[in-house]
Amino acid sequence: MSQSETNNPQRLMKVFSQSLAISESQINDDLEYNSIQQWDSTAHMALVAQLEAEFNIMLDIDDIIDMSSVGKCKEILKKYNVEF
Amino acid sequence: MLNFKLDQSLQLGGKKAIITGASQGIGAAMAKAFARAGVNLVLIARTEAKLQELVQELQLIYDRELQQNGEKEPDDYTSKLSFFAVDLTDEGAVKKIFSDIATLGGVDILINNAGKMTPKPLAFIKSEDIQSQFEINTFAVIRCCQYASRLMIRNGGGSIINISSMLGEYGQQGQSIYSASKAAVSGLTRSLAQELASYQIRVNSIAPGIINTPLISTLSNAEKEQILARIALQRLGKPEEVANTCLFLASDWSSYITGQVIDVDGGVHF
Ligand SMILES: NC(=O)c1ccc[n+]([C@@H]2O[C@H](COP(=O)([O-])OP(=O)(O)OC[C@H]3O[C@@H](n4cnc5c(N)ncnc54)[C@H](OP(=O)(O)O)[C@@H]3O)[C@@H](O)[C@H]2O)c1
Repeated sequence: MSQSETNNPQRLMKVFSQSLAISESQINDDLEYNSIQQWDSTAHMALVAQLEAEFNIMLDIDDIIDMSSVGKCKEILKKYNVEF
Repeated sequence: MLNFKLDQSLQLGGKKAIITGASQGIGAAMAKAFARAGVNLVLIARTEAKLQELVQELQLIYDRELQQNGEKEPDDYTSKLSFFAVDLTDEGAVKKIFSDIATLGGVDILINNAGKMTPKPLAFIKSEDIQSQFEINTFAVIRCCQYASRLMIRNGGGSIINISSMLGEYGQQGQSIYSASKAAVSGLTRSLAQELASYQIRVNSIAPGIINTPLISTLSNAEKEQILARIALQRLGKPEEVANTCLFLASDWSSYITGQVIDVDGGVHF
């Protein structure tokens, strides 16, 4: 595993925490879209923009729609060669 | 950052704009106006040769402005000028362009200008006429807004300008599909203005009247006469007149304007 791969969980945590404006302690694989007030459609768009910037990728619309939880997000990012 | 005397008050120098449909007509006029304001440009259309020719013209504009300011010409224009010769109805190609633009530092201004008009009476309209006009006039605009807005969020905001049409507002005999595809752009503009405001992205449309470009060669003389009779200023518009409005909407001079459809039509009355 490369250095950047080992950092990926931290990088993802940072992106979620910043774009949803929540603390890192609230973030786990089971956290779902619309399950908390902060993760609404507006924040989802900011999340997508920050994920793309952080991991240097451009997500497909289907993947943006499918990104229903933190765990699902990790699964989707793997398709873009972002390993966890 | 380049500091252009001309159009300096717009404070657009160093910003990055994407102009679709830049190879001729209104889009080419916009490219020249934005170059004069010192904007870095990404130009998109299908015809590579025309884009190449325009890029050369734009380099001369940059050079002239720099000389007037006593500044040195850059050795390389790649950071200031780039173009993509692609069909914007190709979804994959659009995604690829925006991935490339992301690596070039993103975008501050998106001008959705590419369009096509195929006038036909209702009885003669085939499915492919509907599809092809909506594909470029509406669907491509939606997709470019989707990708560009994500890049603008990264940069803390931006301005999206969609070129709709007077016909989208008022309609015209024989123009039902074109008018519908442009009316959709006005609806899109008003809704996206609401949706993207919290990211500091403003979204506006310009609805040109009849502007002297190759596009209107598809109109019959009778149609042109009919429209001219309704124009208060009694003349066709110039592409530069649309470009100037676009500069205003791109700049902070319009910082409190969003969700508007601005008519640039010489005072059309029905
Ligand atoms: N002229 C008018 O009176 C008038 C009035 C109201 C609204 N408008 C609108 O203003 C915009 C510009 O019009 P114009 O008069 O400048 O038209 P134009 O001279 O025909 O230029 C249209 C531009 O769009 C590009 N384009 C068309 N289909 C494309 C595609 N599939 N993919 C990529 N680029 C494409 C063309 O380049 P390539 O052919 O090289 O691809 C060209 O650069 C259009 O949206 C039009 O509907 C014009």
